[in-house]
Amino acid sequence: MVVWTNVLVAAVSCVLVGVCFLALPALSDRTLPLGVAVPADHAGDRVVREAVLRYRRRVVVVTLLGVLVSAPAAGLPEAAAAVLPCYLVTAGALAVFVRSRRRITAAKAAERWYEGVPTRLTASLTPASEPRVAVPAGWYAAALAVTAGAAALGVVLYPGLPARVPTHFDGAGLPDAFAARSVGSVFAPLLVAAGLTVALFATAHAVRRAPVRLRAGRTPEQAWARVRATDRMTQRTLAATTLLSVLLVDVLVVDGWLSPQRLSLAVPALVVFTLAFAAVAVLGTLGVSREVRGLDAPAPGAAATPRPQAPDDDRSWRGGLVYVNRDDPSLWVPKRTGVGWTVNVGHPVGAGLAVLLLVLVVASVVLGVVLGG
Amino acid sequence: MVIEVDPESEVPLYQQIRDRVVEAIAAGLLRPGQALSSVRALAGAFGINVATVAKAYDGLRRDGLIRTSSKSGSVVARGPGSGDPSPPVLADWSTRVRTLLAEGLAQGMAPQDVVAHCHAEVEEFVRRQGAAAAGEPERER
Repeated sequence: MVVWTNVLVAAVSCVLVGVCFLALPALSDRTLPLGVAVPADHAGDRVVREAVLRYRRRVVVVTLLGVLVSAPAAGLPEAAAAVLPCYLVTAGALAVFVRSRRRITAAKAAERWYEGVPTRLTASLTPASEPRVAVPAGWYAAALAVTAGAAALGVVLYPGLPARVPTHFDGAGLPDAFAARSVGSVFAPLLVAAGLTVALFATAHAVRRAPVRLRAGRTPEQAWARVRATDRMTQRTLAATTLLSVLLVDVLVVDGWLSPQRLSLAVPALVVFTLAFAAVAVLGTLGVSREVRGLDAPAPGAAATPRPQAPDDDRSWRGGLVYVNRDDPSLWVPKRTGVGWTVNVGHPVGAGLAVLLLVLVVASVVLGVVLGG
Repeated sequence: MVIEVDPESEVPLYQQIRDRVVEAIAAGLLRPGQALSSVRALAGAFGINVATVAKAYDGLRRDGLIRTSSKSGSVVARGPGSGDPSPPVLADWSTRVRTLLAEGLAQGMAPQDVVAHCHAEVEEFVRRQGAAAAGEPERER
């Protein structure tokens, strides 16, 4: 049976993934278009602009394909129906990324863009010389407070709940799994929500200590300003995502208590929260890209001689996406595409993590199909 | 305190790192007692081999410019006004100065120009020490 809310969730997730990939070039350093290292005086070249435009057009096509696939995929077992279209869009967009950047790589090699360009590696000699963006703790506190409020409501409602409480609802909002009423079965989802809040709060603190890589080609002040701009976006996105996810869980849990026969808020809640997630992604991207573009604009009366550039390190970035550098002792490195961190697959632990991630992705699809079917 | 090294230079990376640290100490940007990034952290920040940074720090330690303890990591041990260098360090420095000055003369520089050049460089370091002590932001040269 095709449940239309499943189709909706899958389609909207595809659009979310597509929006993130569309936003990618706006988040990247202008000397790293589509993850290709280019010297600043070639960053605005026609071949670069056309490659980015072509990438964006193809991402739109891939996203639309994912949306189209969502309907037939909804016939699959529930878990697979939700993730498969998303994975398709992700895989398609990654392929588009790798393909679109080739023209830039080719032009760079053919025209020898780096010939005669002085290059520098930049790093801070002293630890923690610049303050990082603070964790917006209020958002996490709000998330915990909402969950605590839901728990308080649960304590009040507990005596009136049925002896067998629903523990899972299908896409139509009808309960399809039950458990005997107990503190565990009633409050477990709230505990998960609280655990999620704590885990993401810890992640936000890890981001404060996450490694930075300063790119040559700008002053140290500008390089740090860029780090702070992306830090700020990461912190805001993490905090907003935490609060939204926890709100969604809490609303659905309370909905399940108030109307155990059939969820009344499932569809509106999913639509509202997906739109809110999309808004967070789009606003975050716009904010950081505006800030970064301001930094990259040449200062009035800037020196005629351009600054030395970051070296061409494409060799260490397979497809512009996967970092493999055995010399580099870093396990985590800032992503080439601007925001976030990725593992160094050249690091023994990094290689292990990469394999683990691959196994998880494959397992989620296979198990979704096998167990659900 | 941000430093830059040239990956394509004929001067080895460890030598460049060492030289940048020495210059920062001379300019008062790094002061005695100030902590340096750990070998691993600096290698990670550059994205280069740990051994390269370790070699740079080894050289600095040998010259007495930094000291490393398991408790506080590597800290700056010397600085302008921290007393005369030890005889072996002074002897080594004199040898290298002789070669550098010889290069100027061998390339046809007038003796007074060589001296003027040395004077200007030392003056510049002293100016930067004053600026650093007054807490002024580092001006680019």
